[in-house]
Amino acid sequence: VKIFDPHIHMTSRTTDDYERMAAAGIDAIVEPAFWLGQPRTHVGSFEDYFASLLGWERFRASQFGIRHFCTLALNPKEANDPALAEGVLALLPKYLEKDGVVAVGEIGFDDQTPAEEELLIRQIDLARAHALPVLVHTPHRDKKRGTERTLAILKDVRFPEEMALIDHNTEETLPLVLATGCWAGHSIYPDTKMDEPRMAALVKQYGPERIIVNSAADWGVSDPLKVPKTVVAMREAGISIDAIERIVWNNPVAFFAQSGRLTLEEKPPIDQRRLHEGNSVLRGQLPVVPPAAS
Amino acid sequence: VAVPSDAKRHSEVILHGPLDRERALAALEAHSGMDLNDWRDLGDRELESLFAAAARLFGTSPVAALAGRPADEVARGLLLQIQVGRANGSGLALVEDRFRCGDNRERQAILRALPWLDDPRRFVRLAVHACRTNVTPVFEAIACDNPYPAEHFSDDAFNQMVLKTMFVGLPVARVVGLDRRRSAELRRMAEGYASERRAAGRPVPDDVALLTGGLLQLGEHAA
Repeated sequence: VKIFDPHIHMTSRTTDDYERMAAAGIDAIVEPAFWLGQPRTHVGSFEDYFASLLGWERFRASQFGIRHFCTLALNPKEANDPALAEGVLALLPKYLEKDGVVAVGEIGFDDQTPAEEELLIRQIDLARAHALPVLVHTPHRDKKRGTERTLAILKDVRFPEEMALIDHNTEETLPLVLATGCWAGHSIYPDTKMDEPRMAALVKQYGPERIIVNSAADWGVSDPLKVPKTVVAMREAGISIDAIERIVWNNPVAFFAQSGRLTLEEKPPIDQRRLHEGNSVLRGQLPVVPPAAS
Repeated sequence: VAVPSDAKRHSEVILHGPLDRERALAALEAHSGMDLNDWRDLGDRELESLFAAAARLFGTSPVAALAGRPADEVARGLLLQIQVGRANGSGLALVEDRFRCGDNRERQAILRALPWLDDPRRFVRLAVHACRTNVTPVFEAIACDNPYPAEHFSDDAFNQMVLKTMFVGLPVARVVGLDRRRSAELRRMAEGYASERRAAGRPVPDDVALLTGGLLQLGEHAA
């Protein structure tokens, strides 16, 4: 099964992770801009962060044969810093024009403050202006209410529902999302959020339509192999290969392809000789080369 | 004597040396079927948007008529050249800003376009800084098949770039103007590298001989 992990923060992960992900069948990923575990206090930090998502991380992923796309936004947590928020919002239009930017995100609620709501709405407008979908984070605390508010806002501003992916769903929020035209993401985590058997049970109950699964792996206790592990759990639960393929490939591809910037056609073979020594991510190992050239 | 076999392995299409701006414009028009003279009438915002969207508009495949360069890269270079041409004194700030905010392909296009820009010497700090990148294709854009470094780099910066070309496994033969910039210092650095490799029990890249032995007429193979 070819796998798309539509939400993973590779900036925080190692090359071991990339290697294991590629071996587990992960072919393409989306890295949403989020917070880094501690607040940034300068707008310039976001410029460097965006540059790294568009450049360095994309290159790192390519060295392991993984296609890397990103979503850019000011995240809900840092939306609460007014000076920062205005500065980042002024930066975004430039970056939202770039190749490989497949949505505006993560936007949404964290503490559900008025500032978060304002930034959510203004960034939905940005998405509309750049013809991009939105990737919406739902809060950990008071989750059901936060999800309801998010869906109400999308409806209020008449954002096309098929262009919105509502993430981090649970048993209690999934029916709310599926009642709209939005897509429903699920973050499979070691302890919190969602786990593999629960996910398989949800798919048995609701079917595969508009269902998306991700690892949301980041700098905390998380697992970049959660999507392939969920594939196994779904298979063991008797879910058809066809439904599984829809969930871990066709659905995220269909959602992000709405950006017009999801280029999955050409894929250069991995040739790590280009990286041998020096500044590459390889440090003295034997490079992997395509069979035809070796 | 032929160029080292390595030269062909590292890129899908071997570049045919520097591409001058007039030839690039004509060839891109022929390739895309668009009249690119219209670009001169556009405002800065529109030119910047086209620069960002070039891969979607022109594609990323190498085009033989563009000296084997990808069409988006050539389009970006032409767009940048127009904008810098009318920026007068703020051309340096414009190019530095575009580079800083650029993704990998945009950065590659900027580096390849440096020889096309007015008063190219003012971009030397940017070009030397670009050599510090960890993204091999971005490094390749300044180090390989690009006349800019031999033209404008100091000896120190040029020598570091040539050594790094070898380090990252790119063919030294693709450094334009190497023969002209050969020096005792570059030879000493290459010999030092070979000695370090031998001491570590690791193979010495063939290209070291090109820098220490002076076996070949180098650097202009692509011209």
